[in-house]
Amino acid sequence: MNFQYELIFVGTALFLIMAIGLISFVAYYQQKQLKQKYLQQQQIQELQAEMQRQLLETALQAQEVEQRRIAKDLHDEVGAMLSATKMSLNQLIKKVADTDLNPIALQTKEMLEESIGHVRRISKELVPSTLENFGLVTALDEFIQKIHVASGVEFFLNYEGFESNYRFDKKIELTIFRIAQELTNNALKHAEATEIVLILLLKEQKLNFIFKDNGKGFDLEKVMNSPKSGLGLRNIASRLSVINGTHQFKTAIGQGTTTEIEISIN
Amino acid sequence: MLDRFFYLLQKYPLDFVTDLIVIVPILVGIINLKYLTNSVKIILTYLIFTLIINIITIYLGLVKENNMFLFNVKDIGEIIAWGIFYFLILKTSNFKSKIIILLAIISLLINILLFNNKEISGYSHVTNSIVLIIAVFLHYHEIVSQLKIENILFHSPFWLSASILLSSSGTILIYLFSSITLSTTTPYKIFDNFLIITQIISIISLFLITFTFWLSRFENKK
Repeated sequence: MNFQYELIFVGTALFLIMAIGLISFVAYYQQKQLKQKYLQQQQIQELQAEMQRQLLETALQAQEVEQRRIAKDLHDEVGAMLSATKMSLNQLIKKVADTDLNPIALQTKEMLEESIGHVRRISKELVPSTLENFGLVTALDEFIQKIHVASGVEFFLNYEGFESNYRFDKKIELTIFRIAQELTNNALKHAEATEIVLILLLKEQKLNFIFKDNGKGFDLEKVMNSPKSGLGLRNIASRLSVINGTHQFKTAIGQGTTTEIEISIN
Repeated sequence: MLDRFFYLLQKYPLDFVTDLIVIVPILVGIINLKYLTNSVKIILTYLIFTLIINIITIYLGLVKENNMFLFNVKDIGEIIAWGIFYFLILKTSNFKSKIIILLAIISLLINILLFNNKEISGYSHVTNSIVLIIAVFLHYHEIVSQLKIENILFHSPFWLSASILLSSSGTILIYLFSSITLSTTTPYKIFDNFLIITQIISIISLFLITFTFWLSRFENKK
C-alpha cells in the first residue's frame, strides 16, 4: 500500500515539475521568438532603407546626367549658334556703320553678348566642371566669387585638415557642392543674408561642412512640416542620406541659420 | 458551535487557510476591477463562487454535516468558469475555441452524471483537469505561434494559465486515485497528507491568481 502512495506522490511531484518546466519554456521560447521577429523586422527595415537610398542615388545620378546633357546642348548648339550669329552681326555692323541702323545694330550686339554670357553661365552651373577638374575647395571658391559679384553678399570660405587640391570621393564632393548651392540660394532668396560663412573641416575621417548666414532665420518646425517651403531642406536630407551623412539645422527667427553636416569619408 | 470552530481551527489550520485565503485574490481583484478584462472578470466571479462554497463547507463541517458534495459543486463551477475564460481568450482562433467549448461541455456532463452527494467525485475532477490542461496547451500554443504579445510576463492570461496548469497537473493523480487517496475509507493520516498537498497547490494557484489581478493594472500600459 505504501508503495502505491509513494508512486502517486512521486508522480504528482513529476507532474508539477513538468508543469513548471512548460510554463518556463513557453515564457522563454516566446521571448526568444519575439526577439527573432524584431531582428527580422529590423533587417527588413534596413533593407528597405538601403533600397530607398539606392533609388535616390539613381535618381540623383539621372538628374546629373540630364543636366550634363542640357549643358552640352546649350554649349555646343545654342552657344555655337549664338557665336555664329555674333560674327554675322559684326559683319552687318561694319556695313551699316554709317547709317541710321548703326545704334540698333550695336544694341542688338550687346543683347547678343549678354545672351551668350547667360548661356555660358547656365551651362557651367548645370555641370560643375571646376568641381570635377580641381576639387571641392576650388569649385566652392569659384561659386562664391560669382555670387559675390552678382549679389554683393560677403563670403568667407575656410578649410582645415586638408589641402585645397585634396580630392574627396566624387559623390561627397558633388553632394557638398549641391548643398552649398541650395543653402546659398536659400540665404539670398529667403533669408536676405548679407554675410555667409562656409567651413570645411576634415578630422578623424569625418568631413564637417558648416554653412552660416546672418539672414532673418525661420521657424524650422513650420518649414519642415510645410510641403512647399520645406522642399529644399528635405532635398538636402535626401542627398545626405545617399552618402550616409547627417545634418542639423540651427535657426530661429531673426537669428540667422547654421547648417552643420557631417559625412564619414571611410 | 463557536467552541467547535476554534477546536477545528486548531486541529486543521491549513484547511481554514485554504478555504479563506481565496478572499485575498477576490480583494485584489475588486481593487483592480477597472483594469481586468472581461475574461479575467469571469475568474474573479468564480473565486467569489468558490468563497461562498468554502463558507458553506466550513458551516456544514461545524454542524457535523457531510460537506463532501460541495467539492463536486465547486468542480462544476470550475469547468464552467474556466471553459468560458478559455473560450473568450481563444475566440480569435475559431477551431481552438470550438474544441474548448466541446470539451468543457463533455466535462460538465461527466460532472453532472458522476455527481456524488457523499464523496468527492475524483473522476469529475480528473476530467476537468485534463480539459483544462488541454486548454492551457492550446492557449500557450496560441501565444507562441502568433507572437502578438509583447511581454508575456505582463500578460494576465499567461499567469492564469500557469495557475490552472499547476493546480490541475498537481492534483490530477491524487484525484485519479481518489479511491485510495481521498476516500472515506482511506487511512486518516494518508488522507490528510494528500489533502495537504492539494491545499498547498491550491494556495500556490491562488497566489498566482492574486498576482495576475495585481498585474492587470500594468498590462494595458505595456
